[in-house]
Amino acid sequence: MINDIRLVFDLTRYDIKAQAKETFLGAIWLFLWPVLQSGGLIVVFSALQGGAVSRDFVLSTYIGIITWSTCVMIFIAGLQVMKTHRETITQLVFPFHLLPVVDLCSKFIFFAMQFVIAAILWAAFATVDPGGLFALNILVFVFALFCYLLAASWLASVLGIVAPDLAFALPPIFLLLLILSPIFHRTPGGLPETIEIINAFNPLVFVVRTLFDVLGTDGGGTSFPLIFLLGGLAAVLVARWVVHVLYQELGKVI
Amino acid sequence: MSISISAGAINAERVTLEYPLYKNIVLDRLRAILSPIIPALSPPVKRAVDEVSFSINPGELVGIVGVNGAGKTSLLKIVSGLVKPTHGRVSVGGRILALLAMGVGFRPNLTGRENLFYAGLLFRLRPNEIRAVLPSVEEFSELGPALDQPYFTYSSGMRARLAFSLATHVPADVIILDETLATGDAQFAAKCYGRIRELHGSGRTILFVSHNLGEVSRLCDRVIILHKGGLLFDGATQEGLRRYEHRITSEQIASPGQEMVSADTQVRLEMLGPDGSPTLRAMIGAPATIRMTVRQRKPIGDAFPFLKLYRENDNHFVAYLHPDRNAIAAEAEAELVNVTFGRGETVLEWRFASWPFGEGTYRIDGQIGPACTWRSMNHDAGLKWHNLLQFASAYENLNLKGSSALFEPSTVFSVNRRSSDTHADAQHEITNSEGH
Repeated sequence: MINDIRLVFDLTRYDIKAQAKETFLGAIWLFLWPVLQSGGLIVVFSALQGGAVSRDFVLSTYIGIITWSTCVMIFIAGLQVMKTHRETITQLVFPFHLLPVVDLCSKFIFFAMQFVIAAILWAAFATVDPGGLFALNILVFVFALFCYLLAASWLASVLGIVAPDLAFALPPIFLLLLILSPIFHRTPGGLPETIEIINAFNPLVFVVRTLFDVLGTDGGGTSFPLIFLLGGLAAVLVARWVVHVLYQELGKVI
Repeated sequence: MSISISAGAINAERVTLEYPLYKNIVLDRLRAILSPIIPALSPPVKRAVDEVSFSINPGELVGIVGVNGAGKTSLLKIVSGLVKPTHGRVSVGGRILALLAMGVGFRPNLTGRENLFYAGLLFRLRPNEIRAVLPSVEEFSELGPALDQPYFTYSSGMRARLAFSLATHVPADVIILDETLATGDAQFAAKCYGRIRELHGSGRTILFVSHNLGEVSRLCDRVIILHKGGLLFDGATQEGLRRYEHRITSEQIASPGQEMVSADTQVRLEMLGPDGSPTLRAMIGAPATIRMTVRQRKPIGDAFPFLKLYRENDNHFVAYLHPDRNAIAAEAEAELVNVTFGRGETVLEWRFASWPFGEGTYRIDGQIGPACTWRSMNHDAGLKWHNLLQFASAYENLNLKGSSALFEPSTVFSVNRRSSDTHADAQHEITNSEGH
């Protein structure tokens, strides 16, 4: 286990290095891209709401969008991870359940940095007081989210082999769901019933609602994400067992 | 995998590997992946390895040989743990290194040096282990300043150097090499074979897959021959390779001599070995005879028979075999040897005191042209037969395999020696024109 963690750490380092060399701005894009994306969406929604948006709305929307986008990006990348590393899986004696983990870590590490900076900005500039346990709750949220994404990456790595069409179908669906999500529609019951039902079944909406509870966007202060944490740990255990079984034949079929 | 086994030993018991047969790739993949949970979903399969059993002792260098699709790579994947056998059991003692393809896992944007580190991690080396072997790897690869250039700028030979250098410096008890030296240049390939010998000398167990039978013969103590997924032979290298060559020759060549009929003429061509019996293989350097039997219902009188010898793999025209080749080649003013073909059977023989042609599979086309002199010889006229005979030209001693020469060179080798004790000169001369 310790060796695996160390291996993941070292491989992630080189993965980031290799990715950074692919563009002129390198790793800066990992910060810049969510800022541009969330900036654009905030501007559009501000305009739709007549330009009267609060500082809290801007900050919490930004944090919500980077969280949502990271989840989507990691899941979509997870769908393709086995295809990307096909040769490693078929030619090298390597514990390939670690490949989705490396892929996840190289993306999550940048998310975590952005998220912590955004949380500090929230604590410093939001009009609501998040409360004394805010820092702890944020760290627990980030850890639990990592657990969910680890489970999602593992499951996506198998899904990407048996249902490769998802990699094409999901990005526009997730974009639509983002626009309909509580990130932009905070008032309960403010959306048509059908969309509320869709949101109720969307795990990303659960993530966003938990995030807003941790941020204390409703003004009631931060809350400890206990269910979120327990759910994340359970998801990792279930996903690990599922992929342990399903990976058995992977070397033959990929 | 639970039984204890000493480091470097391999034990395979009735190992079978089945791969799915695909009609719909996505659906059949889904069925295959779910098959461990719901066996009823298993897709139809093809058997790549069929109940293969063998046992390898620590320190052995074993060649694995077989035609494409024989199951070599599948067997290596099972031994290395890349795939789980469908049935049977494999036990391997100690650390395994499998180099099944060159350059796997290397990142194009990283430099050669960074890639050594990255690939080292994929080989499950710890960072301090990588740092320890890095100087020797760099030295062995001979890539010099190119190591600081991005990997995508490397030629295939440079990539092979980088991958092989790293792989053979990874501490392992069992090393598995699959056709990996083919991409390097000749000089580096020779260095790689030297490195394999060195690793073998240091007590590592090596499984070496190659189509280069000469290298297998020179390197390996023992050979495992696979055929259609099954074990054809497991034992001494020379004996195994000889059987393998016989097998592939028999499969490539339908019959040693086939009879062909053209108008009133029936022709049969045969290759006869040193003992005069028909054979599929002419042994280089040994006596051989090509016999042409012509049966005529009506006499055709004087005619000029000749054969055309082609190398099969590249359709290279190798030689004319005329009744009097030397006279024609020298453009001598002598009359050509025309042959009178009467009614009945005429047997022509071209005898070689020493079979002079190089390794490979050959084809002979035959022709009976009109009677002629060497000036009026016409290679287009007369009766023609395509592919009258197919045969292999091979070395009896497999250590000599690998020559790409069309003809076995006829040389005179001499040694001049001056003895420091007697101050007497000694001269010795060996004529190689009669083979080996």
